[in-house]
Amino acid sequence: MNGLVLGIDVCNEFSHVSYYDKSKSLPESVPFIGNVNILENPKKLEDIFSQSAPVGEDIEEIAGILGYIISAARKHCNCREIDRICITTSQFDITVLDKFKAACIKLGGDMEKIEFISHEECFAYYAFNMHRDLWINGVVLMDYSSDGLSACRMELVNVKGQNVIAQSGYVTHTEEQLMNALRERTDAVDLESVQDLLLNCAKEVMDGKATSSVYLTGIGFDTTKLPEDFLKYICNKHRVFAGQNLYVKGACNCAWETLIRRNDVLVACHNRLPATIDMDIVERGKNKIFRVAQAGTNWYSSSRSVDFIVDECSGFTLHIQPAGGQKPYDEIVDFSDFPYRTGKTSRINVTFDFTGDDRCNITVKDKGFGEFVKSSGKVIYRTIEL
Amino acid sequence: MSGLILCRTKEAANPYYISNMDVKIYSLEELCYYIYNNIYLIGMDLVDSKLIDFVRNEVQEEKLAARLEYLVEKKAGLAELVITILKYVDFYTTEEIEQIRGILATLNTQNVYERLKARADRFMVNECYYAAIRNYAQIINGKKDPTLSVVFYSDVCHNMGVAYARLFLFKQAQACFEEAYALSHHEDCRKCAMAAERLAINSQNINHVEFLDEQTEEEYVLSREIETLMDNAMYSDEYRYLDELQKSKENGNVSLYYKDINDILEKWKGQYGKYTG
Repeated sequence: MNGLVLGIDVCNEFSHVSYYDKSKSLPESVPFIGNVNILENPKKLEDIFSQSAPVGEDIEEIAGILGYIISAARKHCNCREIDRICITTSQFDITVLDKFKAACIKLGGDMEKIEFISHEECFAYYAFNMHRDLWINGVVLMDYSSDGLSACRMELVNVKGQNVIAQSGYVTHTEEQLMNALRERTDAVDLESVQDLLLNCAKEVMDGKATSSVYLTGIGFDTTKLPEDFLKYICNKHRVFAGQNLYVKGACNCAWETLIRRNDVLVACHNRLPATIDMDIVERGKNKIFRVAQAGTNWYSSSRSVDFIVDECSGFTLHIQPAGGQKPYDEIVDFSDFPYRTGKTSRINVTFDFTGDDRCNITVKDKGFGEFVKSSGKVIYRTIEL
Repeated sequence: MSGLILCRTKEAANPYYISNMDVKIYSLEELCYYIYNNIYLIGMDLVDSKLIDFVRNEVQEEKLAARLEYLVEKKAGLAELVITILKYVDFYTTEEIEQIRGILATLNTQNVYERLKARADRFMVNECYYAAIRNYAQIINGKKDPTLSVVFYSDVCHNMGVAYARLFLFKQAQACFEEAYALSHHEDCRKCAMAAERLAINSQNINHVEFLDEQTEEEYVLSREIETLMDNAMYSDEYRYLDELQKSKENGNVSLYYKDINDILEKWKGQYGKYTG
């Protein structure tokens, strides 16, 4: 593990990169030209992914940004080898992520070493890696960016002996007033004009709940002048931090924890699967359970494709176990439409495609059995909601 | 026990070709299936450097490849090689593998020529005539085993004759049947030899005169019997189908005729490829 462990945050207008300093056991920012820790994207993400952009150009643009960022990190750390990269972006949806993935492949990246997580997950990895006093009673994140104002609260709880970072509140505001304040800014955003909205948003997630720390981030909070009432409210019995690099550092912590296989704490926030999915299989003649996806795993990295040999059956059962302690339930995927074959001469491919943290598209394909049995070409589709 | 078995090893992009049976294998599961269902056909030649390469580079199971390599180097028995493959892949249950072990143990106790014959007979059932001939020839050309009966050698020659006949090599078939008859004096062998001779003459398209005076009564009866069989051929489904095709051509359905003829030729070519594989 002598290679670089990187966290990369590609936002709409700016990007950041940090590396994990193993001697200090914490992430450090990588400076770009001019010794600043922030890189202005050559083009805004919203423009890169706009429908008018030529096909394939978006991947080129993203590859350009990622390539530049990675070479800056390599140069700064004087190391070419990469052990792990965790990439986060403000637009965490399957279309954008697939393009990021394609860009990584274009750059020759080893996808086994690259993962993608959302900003909320980065926050969890950042905040809960700080001193215990800063998170023991829960933490609140407020993010004011071009997507609007969002806030969430997270706390560490124990569910059946398992430590879980649980998200206990999530609100988003996209009122015109908030968006205009951002658009009309000359340098820093005039937060006085949106003070009421900020205050209400903070109250929505914090009222009546103990909180150790409040973190402010996003271009809207890139100012030293916070409205007085809002500041008074968030500073009351809480430590308050403002900064633009908490996501990138959280991504870096995540990359490190994946590398060292730390899995004592389950992160259960937005973009993490709320349930574990298991299925029954037969192994050497005995009934066994095959884990399809683990609760608390990022949905994008949970997609998988597996082949099975069919031994005298026409369907399979998925056991869904919600992480929040709700009652487990079963979903049956039936493929009796496929030709019935004896002698284990049917190979099927089952693809589990997650398109969000609450939805899994299942595709079952009849592959036949090599030259012995031709495939019927039949395919079964199912969607399950978590 | 029913259910789904997880495939833990990858499928190959380039298959392993088993020429004896004209079969392409894409995965270890298919290899297990082939072994299990052709246990009488497989021999030490199954695990060669090509199979080990396939396991190592295509299926990317280095552990199994190294194990097989080691066993081949140590000249391990067929049973051990087969069981190693079957146990490595989660396809057959322990009970099913134990059954195979039992069969392999039986095969190991058989005389080498008995095994070769069992193998060749299996090739015959699977219509792999050339492979069958190769195995029968090994018995005939090998050192005579005094523990084996004359009937055993006669059966080998007879079966080899059948294989040649199915490949339209009637001269060779005739020689085999005659050899079988010389050994066992079995009437069927003589009939087959005569039929092969007649077919050889027909296929060579040479003018042949039968001198009735030189035929024994027995030979005459046999030749009539064969002619009856040949006459009856025109009532077979295949013959009638070909006849109808010819008629449809004469009635103007030329394109249909050529399409069907092409299909038939492709089928025959495929069959012949299998026979000679």
